[in-house]
Amino acid sequence: MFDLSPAEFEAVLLSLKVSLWAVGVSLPLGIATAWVLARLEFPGKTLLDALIHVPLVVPPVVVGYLLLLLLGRNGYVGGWLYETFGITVAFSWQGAAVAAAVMAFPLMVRAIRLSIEAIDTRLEQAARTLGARPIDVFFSITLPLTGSGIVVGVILAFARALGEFGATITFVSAIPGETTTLPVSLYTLAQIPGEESGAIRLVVLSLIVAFGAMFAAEIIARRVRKRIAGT
Amino acid sequence: MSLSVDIRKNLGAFTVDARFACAGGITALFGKSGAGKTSIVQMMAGLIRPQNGRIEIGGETVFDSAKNIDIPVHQRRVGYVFQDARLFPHMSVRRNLDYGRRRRGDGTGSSPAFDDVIDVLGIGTLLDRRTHLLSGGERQRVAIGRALLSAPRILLMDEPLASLDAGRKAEIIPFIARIQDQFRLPIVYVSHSVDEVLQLADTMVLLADGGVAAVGPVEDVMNRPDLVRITGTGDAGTVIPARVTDTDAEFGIATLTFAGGDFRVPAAGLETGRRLRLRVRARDVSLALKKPEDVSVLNIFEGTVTSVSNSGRPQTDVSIDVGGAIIWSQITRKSLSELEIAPGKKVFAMVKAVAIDDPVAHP
Amino acid sequence: MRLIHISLFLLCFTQTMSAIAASLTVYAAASTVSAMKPIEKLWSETGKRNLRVVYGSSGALARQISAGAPAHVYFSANRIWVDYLVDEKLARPESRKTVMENRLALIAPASAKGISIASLARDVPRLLKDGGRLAMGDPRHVPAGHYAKEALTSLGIWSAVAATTARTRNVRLALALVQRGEVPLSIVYRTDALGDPLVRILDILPGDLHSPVEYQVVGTATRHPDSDAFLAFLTSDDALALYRAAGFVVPE
Repeated sequence: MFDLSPAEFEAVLLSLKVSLWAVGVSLPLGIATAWVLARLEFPGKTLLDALIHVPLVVPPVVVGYLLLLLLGRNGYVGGWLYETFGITVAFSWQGAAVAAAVMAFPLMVRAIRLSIEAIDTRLEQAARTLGARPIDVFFSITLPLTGSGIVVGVILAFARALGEFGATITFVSAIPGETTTLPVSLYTLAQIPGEESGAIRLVVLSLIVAFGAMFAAEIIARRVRKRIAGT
Repeated sequence: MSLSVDIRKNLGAFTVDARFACAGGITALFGKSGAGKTSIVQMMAGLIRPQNGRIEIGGETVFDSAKNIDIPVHQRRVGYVFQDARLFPHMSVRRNLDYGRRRRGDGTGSSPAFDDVIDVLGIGTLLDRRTHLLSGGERQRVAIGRALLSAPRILLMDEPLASLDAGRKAEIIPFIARIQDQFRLPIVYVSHSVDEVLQLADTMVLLADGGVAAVGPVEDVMNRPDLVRITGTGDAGTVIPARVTDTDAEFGIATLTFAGGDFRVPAAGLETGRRLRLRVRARDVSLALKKPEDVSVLNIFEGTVTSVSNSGRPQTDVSIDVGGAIIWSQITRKSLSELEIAPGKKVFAMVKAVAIDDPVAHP
Repeated sequence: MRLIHISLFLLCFTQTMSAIAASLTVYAAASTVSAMKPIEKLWSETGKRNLRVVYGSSGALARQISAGAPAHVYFSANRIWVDYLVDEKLARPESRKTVMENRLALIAPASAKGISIASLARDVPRLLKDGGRLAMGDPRHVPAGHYAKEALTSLGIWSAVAATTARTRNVRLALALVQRGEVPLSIVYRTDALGDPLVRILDILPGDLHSPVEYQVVGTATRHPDSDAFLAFLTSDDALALYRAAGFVVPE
C-alpha cells in the first residue's frame, strides 16, 4: 500500500537525520544555558533570556535570514569560519540542522530550566558537605535529577525540528538530497497545483514519523522517571 | 580536637553574635527555636558566610574575615547531618553511603570502615533499598552513616531527631552515643530538646537571641537558676550525675549513688556501674526540720539551706546543699515562715520523684 | 467597560473589512514589482486611492485564488497559471492580455571580478566547479526557475548542473544569495538585477533558449467596479512606457 518513492524515502531520512543532529548537538548547550538561567544572577541575564526566545517570537523566515547573514559562507561569522577552518554549513544538511536547532533551542531551554529550578537545592548543599566540588555536584546530583526535564526538552525540541521549515528554506534553500526534508518537500508540492496527492502522502508520512518519534520518546521518559522514583 | 567559633551575622530578625570554644565529645548547641542555632552550624560548615569573625576546626582556620580566608564547603571536612536527612532520591542507600566515601573517605585514611559504620547504625539490611521506601528513623540513620563515611573531622548534627516521633528518637539516640564512642569523633549537636541534650551531651552552649548565654558542662549550665528561663525547663530543678551501684530484683529498685548519698528509684533494666543523669524537680521535694520516720518516701537527705528565693509569690524556691550536690525544693511562703527556713539552716529534703533520663552510656 | 471594548473592536473590524472590500486587489508576480510600484503611483494620481497589490510567486498566487482569495486582477509571470485559472473558470478569458516580456540574466556578486562569459554552455559549469552553487527559483513552482531550467536544458547543461543548484522558493531569495556573496552564480530576471549595485550581470540569456517570459493580466471571476478600468490602464501607453523604463521588453 505504502510504497515510498525514492524522493519520499530520502525526505524521511533527511528529516530524521537533520532533527536528531539538531537536538543532539544543541543539548549540552541547552543544559548549560538552562542551568545558567536557573541558578545564576548576573547583569544582562534578562537580555540573555530574551535573546534565547527570539526564534519563538520572530517569524521563522526572519530567523533564517539572520542565520544567512551570520553563518552563510560569506556571513559575519561564517565567512571567518570558512577562511580559517574551511568549514561551512551553507547549503548542506548541517545548515538545515543548525536552522532546526536554533528554532528548537528556546523550547529545550525552557523545559530544562523549569526542571532545574524544581530541584531541591538543599540536596546540592548536602552533596557539598560530603566533599563534592561544584562541577561534581552538577553531574552527580543536579543533572540526574533534571532527567525528566531533559527528556521533555528533547521531545519538544525534536518535534519542533521535525516540523521546521521557514528558517530552513531561507537559510539553506532546497538542495535535493541535502535539505529536502519532509516539511520542505511538502511545501514545494503544495505550491504546485495538481500535486495534491503527493502532498497528502507527505502529510501522512510526516504524521507517521512524528507519532513514531513521540512514542519512542514517551517510553524513554517513563524509564527515566522510574529511575528517579520518589522524587 | 578543638573547635573555636567567633562569628557575627545579621539575619534580619536578629543578629547572631556567638563566641565559644570546645574540645571533643558531644557539644550541644541548645536554645529555643529561632535562637540562631542552625545558622551557626551552617556557618561552621561553610554553607552560610559570616559577616565577620573566625572559625577554627581541628587547628585549621576555615574562616577568617580579617585574613580573607574562607575555605569552600567541600574542603572543610565537616560531616553534616540535616534535620530532613536529605538523602539523594535517585540513589540507593548504598550509593548514598558511598557518596561521601568516594569523594573524601578513601584517600585520607581517617574514614571509619564501611562495615563498622553500618554495624553501629544497624543499617546493613537497608543497603539496596531505594531511599523513598525508608522510614523516618531509617533515613536519619542512613544520613548519619553517610556523613560518617565522608571522613569528617567533626560531625555537625542539626536537630537530627526533630522530625521523628518519640519512639524513633529513643531508637536513634543510643546510636548517636555509640558513634561518639566508637569513632571518637567530636560532635556538635543542635537541639531545642532538653531530653536529647541531657542524654547525649557533655558540653553545652546555651544560645538565646543569637548570642551565647552560657558555655559549660551540661549539668552546670542546666542547674543555673538564672538560666531556667532560657533552658525552658519550666520548673526549677536539678540535674544530678549519678551511678548505678546496686539493683534489687525483688522490688525493682535501683540504687543510684551521687555526691550527697544514694537515691533509691524504681527502675528496671539498669546494669551496675552505669552512669546517668537524674532530674529532680523542685516541686517534688519537701522539707522537714527533723528526720521523718515511717514515711513512704525512700529518698531523704540531710543538707544545709544555701539560698532562698523570695519574690513575693506564694511559692518560693529553696536550694539545699546535700554533700556537694544542690537540690531545689519548692514550698509555700507560709511554710518558709513557719519553719523559719533561711540560709544556713539544717533541713531534711524528701525527694518524692526522680526522673531518670533514659540512660545512655557515658564514659 | 467591556461593552466599549467590544464595540470598538467591531467598529475597527468592519471598517477594515469594508476598506478591504472596497479596495481593488491585484495579485501580481513578485518580479513585476519594479513595474507595479510606478503603476500604483500613476493610478493614484488619477484620483483613485483604493489599490491594493499583493505580491508572490505566480504559482502560489494562482493556488490562493483557486482557494478563494479575493483578488480582482491577476498579473502572472507565466501563462500556464492563467490557463489554469481560466480552465477552473476562476478568470475571465476575454479580459486576458499579454502585457510585456522579461529576459533572464546570469548574475554574479559585484565583488567577483574578472569573470566573463564567452560561451554559456561551457562557462556556467566551469564557474560552478569548485563546489559553488547556482541559485535559482525552484523550477517546479517558481516561474523564473522554470524558465531558467528550460534555458539550461536548451544549452544541454541542465543534467550537469542540476545537482549543484540551490533552489529558493522565490526569485528574490536567489537574488539575495548573490547579493550576500553566498553563491557565485544565479539566474534571475533581468529586471531584478538591473541597477542593483551588489550584483553584476554577466550575461543576458538569449530569449530563444526558453519559452517567452510572458506577463499576462486577467480579470478574475470576482469583479470590482474598477476591474475593467484598471485592466485597460495596465495596457495603456503610459503603463507600457513604465514597463520599458523598468527593463521589461514591450513589443512596439
